[in-house]
Amino acid sequence: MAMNFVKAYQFSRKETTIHALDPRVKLFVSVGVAIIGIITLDPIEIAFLTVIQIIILALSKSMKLWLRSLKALTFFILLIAVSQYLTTQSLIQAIIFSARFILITSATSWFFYTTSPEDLGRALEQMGVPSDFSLAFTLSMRFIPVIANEFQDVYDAQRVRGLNLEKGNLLERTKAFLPILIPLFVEVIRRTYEISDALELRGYGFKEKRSHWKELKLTTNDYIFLAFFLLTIAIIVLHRLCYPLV
Amino acid sequence: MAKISIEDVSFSYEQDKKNNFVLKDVSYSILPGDSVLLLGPNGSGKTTLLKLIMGLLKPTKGKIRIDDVDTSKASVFEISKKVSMIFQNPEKQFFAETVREELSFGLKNRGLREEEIKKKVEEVAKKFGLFEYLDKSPFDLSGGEKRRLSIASIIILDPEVLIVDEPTAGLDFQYRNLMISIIRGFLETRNKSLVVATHDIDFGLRIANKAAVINEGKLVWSGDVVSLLREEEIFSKGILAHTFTSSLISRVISQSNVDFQKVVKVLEELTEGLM
Repeated sequence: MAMNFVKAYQFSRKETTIHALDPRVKLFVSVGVAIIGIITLDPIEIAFLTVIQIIILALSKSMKLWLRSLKALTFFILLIAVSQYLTTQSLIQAIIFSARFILITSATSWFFYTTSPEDLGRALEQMGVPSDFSLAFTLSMRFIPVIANEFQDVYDAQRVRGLNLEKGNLLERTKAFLPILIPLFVEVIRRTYEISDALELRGYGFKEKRSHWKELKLTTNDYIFLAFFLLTIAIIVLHRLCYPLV
Repeated sequence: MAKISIEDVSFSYEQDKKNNFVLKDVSYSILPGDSVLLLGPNGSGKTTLLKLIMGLLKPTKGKIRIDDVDTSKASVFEISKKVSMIFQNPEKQFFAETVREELSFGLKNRGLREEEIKKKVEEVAKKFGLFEYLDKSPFDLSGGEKRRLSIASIIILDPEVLIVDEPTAGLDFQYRNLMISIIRGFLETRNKSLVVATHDIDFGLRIANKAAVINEGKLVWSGDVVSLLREEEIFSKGILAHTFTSSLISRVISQSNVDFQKVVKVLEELTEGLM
């Protein structure tokens, strides 16, 4: 159960051009697409950007992962569609809002599939984020699957003792999560102490400025990828100027 | 008492990759009174098989029946009325404010009456040496007490079949002995069954009467424990490795007609005498 949601955003190591791109470029493009996805309401723009995301996903050999993540997110996609339909009484609006959600999740999905937590941490650090914050961010990303596994273990252990999350009203069901969440938090806190001890033992924080064995540098492929993204934005702006939404 | 039938069971964690089986065509029966030792190298599929029996996972192919109930059609709650499982590091499941609450969790889920719960909790707490800690927080207990509490919280459910996953992982000599006395105590009740997945062959020899060996997802051998020790191929192929004790027992029973249980008992007494 927990693993399905985690797999929707889990890094998968592969030898592809997209994987090899500079994480800063990928972050810029992915966030850029997500922002356009939040702003736009034009179905043509949404469709155009979604096709581009699908091409990127195909180039990064992550189509299967993406389809699996869509399956895990079906509930939310349907929830958005139904709530939109109920509030606006428009089927088109319902489809547009769900499509926007799919676009935003696709843009963020390929970024996380192709960027390792270490690369992301390095990118943040080179972008000026203090190293303590980027390390904390990298570690939390890295530990998401571990915590999800832990959640599954505790959930199984409590089910064996008769815990039933599908019984009772909303309040009772929420309360039933406590026997899972308390051991999970205890374990997370215990791990946090363990990691901070391990970091300290290996000299973290000994020197103010840390060196890196690999410095990030933009390559030709990064510039080509950026150029394509800027071209995409230009096409969208042009489309918006020619066919403004009423 | 419950009988478990594992019929041609295969299992894959990835539903879209059905050739990537963790378990392949496993068939085995666990009868009332059996105490089965599930052995095999790391990643051979032991824990997966235990979770399948418990209904936490559903077979990709084949069936597991507990008496006449097909586990893929029953809820874990239903299965847990007959079968219960002690996970590796079971103390990770604690959540309650007191030992009393922790012990009563499973009974409350089953809908038992307050007086009945109170009686059972006190009875089990006494048996496991936890009575004086009933109103203490489980998180304040020592390592050994925590382990006792976690096991007591399963034993209190009075399962007909007890499944235990790697019970001795990370335990020292004293706690291993504690586990053995708890498991032996459980088996004292007539026709209760036990399935233990472990790497610790010495531990297994002290509690089991049957053994099953899994390698690369396949059941490669099954029989009684004494026959396992005589099964040289399993050891020569490197599927299992003898320890000093298991190799000693194996030698003694192969060169004389001494009863296996007697050899184990003598060795236990000898070890205790040396401590």
